[in-house]
Amino acid sequence: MMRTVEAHALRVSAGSRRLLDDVSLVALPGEAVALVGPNGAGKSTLLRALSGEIAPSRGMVRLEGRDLRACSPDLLALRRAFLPQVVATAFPFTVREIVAMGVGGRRDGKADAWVDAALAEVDLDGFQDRRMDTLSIGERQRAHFARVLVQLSYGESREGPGLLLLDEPTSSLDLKHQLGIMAAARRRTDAGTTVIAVLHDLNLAALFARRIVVLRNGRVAADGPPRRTITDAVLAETFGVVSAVNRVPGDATPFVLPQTAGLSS
Amino acid sequence: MTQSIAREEPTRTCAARPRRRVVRPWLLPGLVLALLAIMLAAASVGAAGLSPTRIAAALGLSASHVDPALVERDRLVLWSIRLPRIATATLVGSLLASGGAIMQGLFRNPLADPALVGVSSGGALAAAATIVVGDRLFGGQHGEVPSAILPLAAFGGALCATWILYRIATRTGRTSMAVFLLAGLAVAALANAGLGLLVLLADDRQLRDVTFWLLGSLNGATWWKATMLAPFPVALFISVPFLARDLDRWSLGEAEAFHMGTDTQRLKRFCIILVSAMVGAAVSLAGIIAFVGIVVPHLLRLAAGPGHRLLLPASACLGAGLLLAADTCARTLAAPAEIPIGILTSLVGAPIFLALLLRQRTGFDP
Repeated sequence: MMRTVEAHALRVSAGSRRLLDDVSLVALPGEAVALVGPNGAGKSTLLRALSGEIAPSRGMVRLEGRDLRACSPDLLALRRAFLPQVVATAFPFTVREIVAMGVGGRRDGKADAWVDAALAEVDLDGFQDRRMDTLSIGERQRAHFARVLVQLSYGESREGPGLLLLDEPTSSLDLKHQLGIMAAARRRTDAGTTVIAVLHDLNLAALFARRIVVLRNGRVAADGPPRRTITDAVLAETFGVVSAVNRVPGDATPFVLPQTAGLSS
Repeated sequence: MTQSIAREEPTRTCAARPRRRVVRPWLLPGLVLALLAIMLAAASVGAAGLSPTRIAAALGLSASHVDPALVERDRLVLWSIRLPRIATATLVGSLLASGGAIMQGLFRNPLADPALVGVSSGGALAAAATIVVGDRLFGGQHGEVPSAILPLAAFGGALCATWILYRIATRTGRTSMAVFLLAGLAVAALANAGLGLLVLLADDRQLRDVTFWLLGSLNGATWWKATMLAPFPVALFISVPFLARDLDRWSLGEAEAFHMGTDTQRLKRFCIILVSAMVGAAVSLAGIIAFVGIVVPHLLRLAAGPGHRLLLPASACLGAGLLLAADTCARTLAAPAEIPIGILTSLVGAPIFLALLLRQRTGFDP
């Protein structure tokens, strides 16, 4: 099977500090991968390196077999979409104008349909004529998620299932919309899209992803299904938190309770 | 499930809705019509008043019942004085306003202005240097600098300032717009210091020339000058489709524009070259004319939203109309004397701008 994205021995440096060191990661079509780890572990850096936004000082990233450095921004935008943590909008665009930026210059019925569908998917239908700067932070985050979905739909309509990169897509959302956004991402994986998401909520990660990659100090500390990566041993090593993991009897999915956790000394 | 959870205040959705949508389809046609009306008015007022029928007769548009000698005189007034000046004012206005719109998009700041970042100052310094120093080099005792050299020097000065800024702000193939803006302020300050020195060195006649040029004027417009400006709006209109798309994306930030498929370095380079050429050309022929580049795009953003597909051509039209109206006032209000147009635009533009700020204080901070 063609690998959607393949990072090989990535190193990303800022000055003398190594943000990522010897990180390798392969993701297949339809795979849902969660990136977790403590603050400053390199999760966002890895995501931005996978998107082509920052160039690694060593190693390389391939997107569907093609070296990222050889791809034009145009081509990349058709094959992968990226949701950043925070977006500052300089001018008072409306929600619909922002979401429609995902389709590039295309203006026709199909583009309108994608925009409508994406707005409905993030529960913002009825907000389309609102100015972005009048929305709450969480609503803005959902609007940008819709924009990214539209970009993905546009690219996939031309070249088949692509790659969706999400940097903390639920950080400002209430519980209902956290679940809604992750469900929308999962629906995309059912259609063949590869989704890689940075998540801070380990429970959401275990619920969403069949595979969790744990980063620590710019290196991969663990990589595998939730039951092997969300364990007391891994959490103690990476987060410095002990006995936080619990399991529902009869179900393999682990869950984390802050109430049972302690800080390792 | 969704029924039990109340939607977040759906009533608020109506707030910003209707106006933009109503305005948009009519905006460009309306601006073009207004521009044509201003052109007609500008052609008819002046030292020799011309009624629309006489204009039509002089242009050969209607079978005239007017005295042929009068038609001949009107034709001379129109073709060699009024029309070249109208064409120049229209082009300068459109370049200043759309240049301002692009620059604001590029800096993601509604207050960015070509005058702020050294483009105009570089042109002004070169023009003043030509007047003061060039006089001694070329002119001998009483001579003046040949009239073609002044615009060329100003244009060169504007481009040169931009080139310096671009080199300063670009490291390893990436241009930092923040560095560009800061360096621009420094270059503008330097250029102004140079201007001050030149003013000290200048004799009375040179001083008058420099001052007149700094205050802006369309006096002495010719067909030749108008023709030199014409390629720039054409270049703008050709590039609007992709430029508008990329500037829209750019307003979400450089990384986001890249993720949506924009070659950000190429966009920056293209905009910087285009704006400095456009503004440099306008400054070189008309001197420094303030506020058109800020007020016009701002008004249009309020009326029709910030989307650049409409904003860029609409800015060109409205800028053209406003500058033509200002120039017509400049040459008629105190006739036979002429008010420098830069004074007029600042005098009218600044209070309008303040009034807008007072009326609508939201939407500037991200």
